[in-house]
Amino acid sequence: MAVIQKKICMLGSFGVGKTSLVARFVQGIFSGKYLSTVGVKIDKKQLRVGDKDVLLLLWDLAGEDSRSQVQTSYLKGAAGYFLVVDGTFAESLVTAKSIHKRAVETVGEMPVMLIVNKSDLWGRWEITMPELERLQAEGWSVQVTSAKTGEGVEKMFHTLTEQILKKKSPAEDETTP
Amino acid sequence: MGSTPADLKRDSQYDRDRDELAELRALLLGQQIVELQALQQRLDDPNVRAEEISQILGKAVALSIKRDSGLQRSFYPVVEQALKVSIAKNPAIIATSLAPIIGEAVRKAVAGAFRTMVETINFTLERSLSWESMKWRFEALSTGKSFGEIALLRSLRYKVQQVFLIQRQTGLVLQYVAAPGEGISEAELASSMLTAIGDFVSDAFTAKQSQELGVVQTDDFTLWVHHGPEATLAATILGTPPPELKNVLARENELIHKEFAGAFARFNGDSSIFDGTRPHLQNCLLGQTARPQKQSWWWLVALAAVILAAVALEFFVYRHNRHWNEYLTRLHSEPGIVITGWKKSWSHYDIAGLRDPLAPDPVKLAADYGIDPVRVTGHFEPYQSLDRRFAVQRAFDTEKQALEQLLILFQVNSSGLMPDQSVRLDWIEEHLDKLQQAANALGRKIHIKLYGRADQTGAESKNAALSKERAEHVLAALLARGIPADLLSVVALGTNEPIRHGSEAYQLEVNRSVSLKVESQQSGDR
Repeated sequence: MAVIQKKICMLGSFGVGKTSLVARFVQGIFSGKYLSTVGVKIDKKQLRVGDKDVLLLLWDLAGEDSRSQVQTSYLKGAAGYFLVVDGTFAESLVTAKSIHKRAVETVGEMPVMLIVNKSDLWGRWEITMPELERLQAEGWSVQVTSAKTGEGVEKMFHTLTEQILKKKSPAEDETTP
Repeated sequence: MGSTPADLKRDSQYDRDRDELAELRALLLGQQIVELQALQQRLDDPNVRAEEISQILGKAVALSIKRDSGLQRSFYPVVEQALKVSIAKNPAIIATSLAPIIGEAVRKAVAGAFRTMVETINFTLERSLSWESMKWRFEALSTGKSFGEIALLRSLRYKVQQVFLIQRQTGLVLQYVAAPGEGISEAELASSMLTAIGDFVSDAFTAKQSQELGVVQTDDFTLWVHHGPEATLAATILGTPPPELKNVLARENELIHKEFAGAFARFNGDSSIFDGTRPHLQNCLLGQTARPQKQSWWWLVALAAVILAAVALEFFVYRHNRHWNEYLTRLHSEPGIVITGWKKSWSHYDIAGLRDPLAPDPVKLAADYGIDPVRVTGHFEPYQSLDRRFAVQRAFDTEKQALEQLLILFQVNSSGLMPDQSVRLDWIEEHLDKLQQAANALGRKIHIKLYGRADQTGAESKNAALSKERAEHVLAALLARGIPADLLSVVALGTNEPIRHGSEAYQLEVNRSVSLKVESQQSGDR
């Protein structure tokens, strides 16, 4: 069975822990300076989902802040993406939603997961549980993680990959009318 | 055939039944019948149906496209036909619509072609006169291949290390080949990063999305990228690649697009469907190792030889000039030689001037300065130098010559002087004194031999004695005049070495004589 390659993007505010989540998951070859220069750092990770070997190419995009917006052109050709927010910083959720809106405008609907990071700092969270439940009710796929302890990290990549594989491409439909 | 009464009765019964059925139907299905009639009308009336379909057509097409591409396939011949008709009817409409796109595409193509042309011209100029290119031209002639093809194969200036086939949109690597001994294990990451950098360059530095990264260059590493509609072909190259390589990349990428059009549409991340592209990628693995070191070594040797030759030549010219200048200086300082002009060609010299006969031969002097006298031609007019050394020498020579030409004559068969010969002895005294002075100035020591002679008449034994007597007579006379004895000696020649041969009276007379022979040598040479 051949390996299936998929491009995945990490989106979110500056400082929410996107790079740390990727670093927790993979071992890459590019240094962090790419993020600040080119605005993206790419790592890869192979994992097995069901009976399929999938090679994820993780595009870690530079975080958004008041001065610069995420380069949504890097999303082109992605199979799915993570919206990462910082549980201790409610504003990051607002930013994530605005990034999501722009992403949908640029590249259309595709599998997306909302990652609420920094579960190790639970006591200082500004985003409340009812709020997360409401988001889930709205249809968001939500995962709580900690890049520090590793909680939920493996799971988030597996879940999104499953969603991507489940979503059949039009080309695949064509072969099974 | 007419109707019977029974028939009529049956008919009226039938009509009655029918009316009742219609009534029953109206009672039971009244509303539905109206609706059915309306429906019937909708189906029958093409205007109504068109009106209705127009309302749902858009949505139906959208749904169909979403489900599969069957509709596109069905429409494709229609659209093609429609385009044909439209262009035949009024080409201006399509032309106007396409103009903005075509303009852009043409601009890009022309710019690309110009860039390639300039690079080709540069490269051609650079190599057109080299020995290598001559060999390549010969090979092209003998094999019937184009010169460009041979250059591409034989060029030692570059090596394609790796070739990537990358899906444009996702940056995923579809296929990857590397030259033996080259390559990296992270082709997927390199491919994605290249795409990201391409996006970055496009976003950050160019106003138009359609402008794309074509070349990445460092000192000895080049990345050439050819963009197709679906996939990008990227080659990493060591050294300086020839412009023709760009054509190879373009050609292979176009072939891949042609042969794998279906695979691009089907691609879902499984790159094994692109395994068939490997031969195309391998066609791009051109070139050999970078120009071998040996080559530059030969250049160094050649350069060193040229420098050495130049230095040697410079040295010889310098030495040559130095010798010539020293020789000229010597001639200028040499008494009795005056240089009025000279001409020097590559291997020959002409010198003109004046030369005192007493001065050394200027041409022969050249040998003292490492110049072959054969290569020197002298044009010297004789003159008399006023230099003191020459004046003294000349005085010495004059006195010597005068003294040696003088004869003291004697009477027949006697050692008695002819009349008036004592005047000659006085003259000798005077001129010997001058000769002595000149000899002293020249640092020479002189000695005078008095040769006594007799004429051929009479007995030989008598003649010998007579000649001796005559010489001694002169010796005695000179000693009497105060000339030092050690300066003089006598030689009796008898009839040997006569002044004149013959037996005439005037010939015999000069042989009855004494003559002087001046001998000289440098002081201390004895």
